[in-house]
Amino acid sequence: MQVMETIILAIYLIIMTVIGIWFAKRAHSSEGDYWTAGGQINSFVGSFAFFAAVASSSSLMGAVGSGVALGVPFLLAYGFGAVAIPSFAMFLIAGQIRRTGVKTLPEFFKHRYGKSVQIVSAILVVLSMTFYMIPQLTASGLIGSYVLGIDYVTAVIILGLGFTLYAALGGMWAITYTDLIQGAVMVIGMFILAIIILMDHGGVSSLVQDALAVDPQFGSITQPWMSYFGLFVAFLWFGVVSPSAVMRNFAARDAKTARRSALGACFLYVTVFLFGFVIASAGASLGIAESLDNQDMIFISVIEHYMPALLAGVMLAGLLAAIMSSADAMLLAVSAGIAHDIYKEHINKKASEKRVTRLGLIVMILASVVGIIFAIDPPQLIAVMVGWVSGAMLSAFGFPLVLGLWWKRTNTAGALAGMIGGTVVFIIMALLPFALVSEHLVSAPVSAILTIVVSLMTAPPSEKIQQEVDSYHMEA
Amino acid sequence: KLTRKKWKDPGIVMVIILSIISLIVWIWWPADTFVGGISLAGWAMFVCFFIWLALTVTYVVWMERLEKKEMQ
Repeated sequence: MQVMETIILAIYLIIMTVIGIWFAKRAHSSEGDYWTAGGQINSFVGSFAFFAAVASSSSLMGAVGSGVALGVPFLLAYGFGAVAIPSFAMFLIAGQIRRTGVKTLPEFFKHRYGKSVQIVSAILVVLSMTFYMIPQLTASGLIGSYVLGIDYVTAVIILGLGFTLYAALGGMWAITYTDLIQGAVMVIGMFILAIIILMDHGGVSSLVQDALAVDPQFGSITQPWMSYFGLFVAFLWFGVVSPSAVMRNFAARDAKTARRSALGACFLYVTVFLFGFVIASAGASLGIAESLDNQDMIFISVIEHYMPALLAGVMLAGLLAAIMSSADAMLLAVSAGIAHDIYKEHINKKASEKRVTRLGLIVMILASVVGIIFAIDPPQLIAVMVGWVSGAMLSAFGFPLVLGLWWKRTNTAGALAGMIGGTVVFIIMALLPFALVSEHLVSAPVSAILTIVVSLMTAPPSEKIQQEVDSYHMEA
Repeated sequence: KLTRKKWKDPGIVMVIILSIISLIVWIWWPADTFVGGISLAGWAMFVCFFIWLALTVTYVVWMERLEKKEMQ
């Protein structure tokens, strides 16, 4: 056990739990408070919340690990797509979806397309977000076992239940304010680490030369073009199609705040990838990629090599913050999908708000337990798993959502065809024994074509719905 | 009534600009040209970080002015 790092991680976890307890009463006072923090989050807090929800273990450990193992252009391809996540989401949906006044993504689909699309989307949200939590839990187990000196399984259980506790107690209120702290810890930790590395190597230029001296392939494109392109497309669309990211727009005060939050998140993402470039270069200069079992551990090795114990504790807390701030948002999306979109809408329409938020709390704990069970025997690479889920969500939600906000003619039949067709094609592509291209590069266009063609072949939506689509684009 | 055309919306304009810049990078893809030991394709993606940020700032300012004008 590393005593100083353990103390800092313990303090960090205690602060997160205290925030959860602090907001518990407020969060359980209404459904709006539990799922969307009452739509009262300002743009400063919202910037960190959006950034922290999207910046996961993949953005930090996955990108740096890939940058060292596969060459730094792979890290830059991550950033190429990831920096555009908040921007692309803002251009296409942020203001519009905030004006709809809904609490969840399936609820938007209900308003726009009816209950059939809502139930299909709620099931897809629950499945995709539960699966997406697994790599987050895997990464937390890696850090926990390394720092706390305990076995991987125990670390997954302790840290998994750690973020579940504050998220279940305080709902979106606790998740947003813990995200503010987590986002700040992430950025500050990476900034300090990057400065230490640059001072140690005497600047960026000599750092890159040190990396190239150890690994001559560090600056090269080592993978097929399609690997970089597929990664870019999956990341680019993440802020549009991931319920955990979309829900941040519902928490914003208004459309203007939602847009400003996305701008702040974009700025934070740029800084993180600038620091990530420095950290990956340092990782390559250490020449340790071949000796590690898991390339996601490269980031941790760099921390241990360059930072004194106190600062290493802060940076490890930053890595944990990246994981927990994404996993808690996914947990909230799963919880809302079951308690709000399935239970209240289809099973018990007369359920009180208190009963629904209590059910949300129970669902969060159950979903977390399911995630932990899967994470105990995890696949090798975090980045591959994240890419898989991002692609599946893009295939299912991307075009029914964007076209639903922008094109009045999109109707229920078109949305259902796009959602189910895109998902089925994605699964078929993923199960093929050979990979022609990234799955979503085929399944997402199929979803778009099905949504448009089936909408045009069937009756247009009612005049009321068409007027509503216009209202998404106007200030009240 | 919505007075402006949706296809002229600042969001759509920005998506088109972002798509064109991305396409240029992906079609050009100078993988075998190196600057400072790093592939030019990598540098092209790096420069785009700042282009995305500039597009985002432009969009926020544009939308706020547009909505202010529409409210008057």
